[in-house]
Amino acid sequence: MKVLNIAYYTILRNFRDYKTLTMMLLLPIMLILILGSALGGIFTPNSVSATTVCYLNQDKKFMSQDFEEFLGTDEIKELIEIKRVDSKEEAIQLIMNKEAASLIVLPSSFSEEIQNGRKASIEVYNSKYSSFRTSIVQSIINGFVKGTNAQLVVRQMGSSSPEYLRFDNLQEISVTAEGNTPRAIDYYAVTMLIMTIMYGTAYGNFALKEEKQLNTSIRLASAPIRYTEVILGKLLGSIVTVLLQAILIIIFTKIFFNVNWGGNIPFVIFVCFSLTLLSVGLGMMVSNLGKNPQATGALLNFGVNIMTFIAGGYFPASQMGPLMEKIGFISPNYLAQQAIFNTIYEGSSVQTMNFMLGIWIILIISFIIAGFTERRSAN
Amino acid sequence: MVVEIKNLVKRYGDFLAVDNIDLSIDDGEIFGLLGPNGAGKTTAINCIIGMQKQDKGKILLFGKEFDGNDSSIKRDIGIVPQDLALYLDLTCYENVTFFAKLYGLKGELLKSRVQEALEFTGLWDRRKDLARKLSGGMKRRLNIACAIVHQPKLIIMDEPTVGIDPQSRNHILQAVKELNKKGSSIIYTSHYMEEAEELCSRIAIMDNGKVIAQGTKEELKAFVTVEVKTEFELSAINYTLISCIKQVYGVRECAYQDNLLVVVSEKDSKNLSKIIDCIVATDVDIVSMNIEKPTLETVFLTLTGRTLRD
Ligand SMILES: Nc1ncnc2c1ncn2[C@@H]1O[C@H](COP(=O)(O)OP(=O)(O)OP(=O)(O)O)[C@@H](O)[C@H]1O
Ligand SMILES: [Mg+2]
Repeated sequence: MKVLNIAYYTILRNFRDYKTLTMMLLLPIMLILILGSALGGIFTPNSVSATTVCYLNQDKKFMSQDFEEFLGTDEIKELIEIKRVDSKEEAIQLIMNKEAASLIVLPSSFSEEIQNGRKASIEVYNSKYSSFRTSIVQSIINGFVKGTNAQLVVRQMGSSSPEYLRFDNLQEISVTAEGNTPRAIDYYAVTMLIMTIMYGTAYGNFALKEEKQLNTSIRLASAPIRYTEVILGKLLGSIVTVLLQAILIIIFTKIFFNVNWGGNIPFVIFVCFSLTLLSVGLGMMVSNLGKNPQATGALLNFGVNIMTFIAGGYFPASQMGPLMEKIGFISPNYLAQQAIFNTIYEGSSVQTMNFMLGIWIILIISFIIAGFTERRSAN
Repeated sequence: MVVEIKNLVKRYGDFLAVDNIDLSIDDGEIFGLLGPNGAGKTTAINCIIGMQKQDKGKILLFGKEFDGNDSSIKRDIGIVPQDLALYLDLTCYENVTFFAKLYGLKGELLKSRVQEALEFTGLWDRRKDLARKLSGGMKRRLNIACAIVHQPKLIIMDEPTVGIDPQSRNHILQAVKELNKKGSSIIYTSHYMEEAEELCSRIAIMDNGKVIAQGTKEELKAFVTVEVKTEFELSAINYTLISCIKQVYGVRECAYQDNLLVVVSEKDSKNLSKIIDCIVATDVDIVSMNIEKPTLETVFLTLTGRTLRD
């Protein structure tokens, strides 16, 4: 109860702090709008290399014709350009040369599997440092595969089968795919959201130091409440504050900028929640390691800027050369961005899980260090 | 005994902020803790409430040894910190409510206690204002309201009147007396000797981390007083009068200038009526008379050779 009391008043006070609120809400929304319209050119699919997809048909039987028909539809053509290849090696060469982003392979057993009512798979190879564009490819393929299976199953088993639900899924996916060409604003909405959440380190940094500055730490220390309850309350308050801000940005950009947040918003919010834990924990950790909260605050602020930059938050990493694409991995922003892009554009869920795992590892380490250093800085 | 402190020592690095002090505060009294800047008053208080860990010594609150953690003891303490301890972006009502909830108050009782505390400090009409918007004196009063809302048995006030106008100050002094009447014991820290004179039953004087004197006001004054100075303004002064007074028991010195006569006597010589007899006998009229009494200021001056505030 006392923890909730502290959390509630922390949130209340955070939302009355108009200066910080401007930075956490107004600034990212302005940036989304400005970067989204100013740098729009980068995102129109004119750079062939980024949207060209190699296609290798090893099956060549009747089902592959269905697939090729599917690839030939106008919606798909708008998203990707198909380049037929004769071998994997040829495709890999093209991908290495950045002339293509992905390779789609129809395995030789494709038609047979479907005929036998088994789940057919289409192999997709993405360039190693895949930009979110390659996840579109995966999304398209997934849509086709799910749809095909469902249709077959429906034909065989009738509409009362639970598999029928998948049929709806197909349509949902193709609807998403239709409006799915990511515009600049869709890109920056994600990266600026992530940046804002990372600015949440400021709340972690000040959570306890602020009580010291306000002298209220004396009252908290003399009240019948344990120090851990104070910490938990402050943490909870900071986390809810940042998460609410993130949700406000999502809602606002959805309504006013028509930003595409994909079909799985709960998972997008879960990614935000995980990153919020990370940023508040990181803020608290750095705060404990330093003495002066103003100094650690400035350091964190600087750090968030760097992290945003190397993750391609201001300018897509894929446009900044291979080196930048590689070092992007060390930024928590990158992990969260990719997890969200993968969710919105239905990329590989294995990749998404790896990104999430990365976030949780960093956040757990932050909290462990913050916990160990807390006692020392409390006195 | 509400508070009993034995051999309390607190160091900051090599610096000895509290140097082996003993204090005891009785149930129902207003205890004054006086001393100049840097004497160690706030440090001692921080140790009492468990905000800082002492290096040595024992602290007993309500007869139980207190290590800074015992919730049942903490529940009965209210602290008015020297520096304002308020959330400036919360309203008066929210500030008091927040701290009241830390003491487990809820529901109707919470509401009535919060109202009581705000009314008591004269802030009920300003309850919806942000603390930021209050005047200095009002902030001081809110600082008190936050400390008394849970009706503690022991209230510790660390310079609650510092830097405010006389009216607000009077308001606070009256409030302290009233809280005491309602049954709270109070530790009152101040630079202002007049405040201590007015409020406190017993006083400890601290300097350089040590308690240099402790007792009732009278005891402290008696302790330092060696002589009493009496001044008379007379219609005339003549030699007969002077020699008469000089023969009175206890008189050490008798000096005059124009119509002003100054008589210095040993303390407790009870010779005022004899001196007046001399004046009457020489047919001189007394225009005015003034007996200079020792104040706590004198006490401090005598003990340390310094004035309390520089
Ligand atoms: N956190 C600290 N670290 C180091 N020294 C300190 C600390 N707090 C107080 N001191 C020193 O301890 C001494 C006693 O300080 P304290 O605040 O207890 O005095 P005080 O009697 O309350 O003075 P004042 O009337 O000015 O409030 C001072 O010399 C002060 O500089
Ligand atoms: Mg002090």
